[in-house]
Amino acid sequence: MHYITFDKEKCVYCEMCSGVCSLSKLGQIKPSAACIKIARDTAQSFGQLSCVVCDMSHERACIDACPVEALSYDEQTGVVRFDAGLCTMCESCLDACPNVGIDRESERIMICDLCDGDPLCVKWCPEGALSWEGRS
Amino acid sequence: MMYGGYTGRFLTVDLGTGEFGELPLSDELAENYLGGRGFIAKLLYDRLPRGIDPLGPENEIIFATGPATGTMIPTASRIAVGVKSPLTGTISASYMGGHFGPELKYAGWDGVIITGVSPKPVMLVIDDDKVELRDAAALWGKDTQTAQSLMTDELGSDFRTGAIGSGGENLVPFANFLHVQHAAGRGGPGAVFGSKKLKAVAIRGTGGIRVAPAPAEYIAGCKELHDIIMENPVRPAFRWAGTTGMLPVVNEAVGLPWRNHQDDKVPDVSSIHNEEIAKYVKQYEACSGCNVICGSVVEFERNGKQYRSERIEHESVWALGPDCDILDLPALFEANLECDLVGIDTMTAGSTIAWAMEMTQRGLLSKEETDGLDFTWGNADVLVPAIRKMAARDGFGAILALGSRGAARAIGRGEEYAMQVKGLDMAAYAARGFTGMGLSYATTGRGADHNKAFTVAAEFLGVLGDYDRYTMEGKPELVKRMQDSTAIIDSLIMCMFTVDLGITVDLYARCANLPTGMSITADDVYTIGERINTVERLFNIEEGFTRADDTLPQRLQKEGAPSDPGGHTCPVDDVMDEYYEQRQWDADGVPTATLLQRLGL
Repeated sequence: MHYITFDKEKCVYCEMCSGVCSLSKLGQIKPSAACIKIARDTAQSFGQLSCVVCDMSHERACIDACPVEALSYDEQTGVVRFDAGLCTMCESCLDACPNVGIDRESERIMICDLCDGDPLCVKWCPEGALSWEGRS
Repeated sequence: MMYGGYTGRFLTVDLGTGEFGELPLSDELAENYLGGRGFIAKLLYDRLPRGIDPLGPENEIIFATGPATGTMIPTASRIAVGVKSPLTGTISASYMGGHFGPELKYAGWDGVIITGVSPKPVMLVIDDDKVELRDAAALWGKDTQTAQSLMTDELGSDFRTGAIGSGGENLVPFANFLHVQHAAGRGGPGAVFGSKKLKAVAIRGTGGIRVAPAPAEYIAGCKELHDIIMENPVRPAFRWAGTTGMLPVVNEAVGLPWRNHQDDKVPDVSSIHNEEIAKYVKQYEACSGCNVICGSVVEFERNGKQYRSERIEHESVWALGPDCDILDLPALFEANLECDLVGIDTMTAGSTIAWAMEMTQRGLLSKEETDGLDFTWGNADVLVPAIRKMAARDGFGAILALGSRGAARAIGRGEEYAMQVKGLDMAAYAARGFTGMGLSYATTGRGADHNKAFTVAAEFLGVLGDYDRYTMEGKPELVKRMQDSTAIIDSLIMCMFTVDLGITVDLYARCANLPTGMSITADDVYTIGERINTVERLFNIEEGFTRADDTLPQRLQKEGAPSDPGGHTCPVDDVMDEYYEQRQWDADGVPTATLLQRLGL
């Protein structure tokens, strides 16, 4: 099972991860709706950075919260799949997990799917702050 | 708008009536002026009446992005802020990086045109299509960083913020506008904000930008451009030292002005060497979508106080440092931060203090006139008090707040020691050591700007040819060509660093074509750039600027730098005819009918 790891010491806040993710998934550069986002603690100047992305922990809070099975676990690839045809946009998954995103324009729930085994965000990170690791 | 990369509209804000509107962006404007600086040139030239007071109600503030802004084209994070400059009276566009420009695009706007005067201090809040003017009484009087922090508290951390400081509020003609500590920058846009009672701007954009090609094709195209920068041998130096890496190199080459340009070499720069600066670095910072990553955060102590700030940049460390013969690094960090807090341009502030120091050296300025401030060369302790007095326009600060030329005129002496062109103070590249820079300072629309034709790349770094640094030969052509290509960088908008990092003119054309779907050639890049420079020239000519304004201080044209054994000078007046010929301007510097026709003006 694989997941994206984030090294906050290496991140420089260029947000290329969000740009390339949104372009690939939504056909436009739209960082606010990307499956991966970088957040900054604004309490301090140039404050701590953190990464918001599915941690593949598979406690499956998002799946459990979905009343219509629009979200499902893909055993083969180890990622959560989204079926727009079943989704009612109730947004229960957003309440269940902070790593779930949404693109309201296309009515799509945004959860990292590791780009089918070749995560673009990892490839585009200029500082190696993002990596892609296996977990047993 | 048929092209990708643009949102296709400008937001209009009338601060007087509180009304908002939309100005559609025409295909023709995009084709002829591209974005950023090009849009500002065309819009201000068409919209502003001639002869207006830059701090009067008729001046406008134009924020403009370019087609590449926020689209993953490398370094395209920048936004331009255009005004009729209160410092120079010319047209002026200033630029800043960070995340402000992309956020405006994500909010659905290519730019913002701000007109009128608000009756009371306000903050402009752009939340996608929802635009409002909020009362800013609580922000007025606050420094730029406190103001932005209060804005974040009020609006939430997902808004990008920018504000003016006391410098802008008090109409200091070189006051700037800061997003975090990214400053836009020179030419005094902050004073125009202050004159309009516009304290701050906040933006949240939750939309997206569409580009012309299919996503996979676009991502592959951008990756090629990113890889060119990542693989460039110069990139590690930028990554590690930012702009400050240039300082010791340029000094060693007798190209770093010292003591208000009395010489072009500092005896010993070891205390402000980039290796010293690097010791204070705590973390690195990038602008949006940038893989150069020249920014960083420093922590330092001075007089028992602890500070955290963006690392000082090359131009700031020079203007506040060697230009004033101050080589105390924590003092320079502190002065740089103070300029950012009060929101004034570090370069003009430093150069004006250097002028006061030379006036003191020559016995032309007494301590009685300076309210007791000691403008002796190297007095680090005068920096912060002088900066505060400038921003407050308090006592002698009100004189200094006019910039070096304005200060000299106000006291009626010492204009020959004001190292400026058209009222804009010069930068950290010695005109006598890089004559192309001298010619660029002399001929650039808003005065001695170092970023409108960075000929050091061709005269010293070997990036764009192999020109003799000292001769004037070939420089009119070089300066004209680089001014035109730079206008495109400023219009896309990309970062000037890309010039040194392998992005050639044909690649700038590609950076324009990739998101938009246009088919601009390298020749078109020069033509669009020429059009932008020509419109800026027309603006200035109609404001009364003449050939007499395209010059350099006599010191640089007549006297060699003592440290230069060749005793070279930068006699720009001698080549002005040739430069005008290159530009197809007549002997008075007025664009010819042939040129205007060729450019479709």
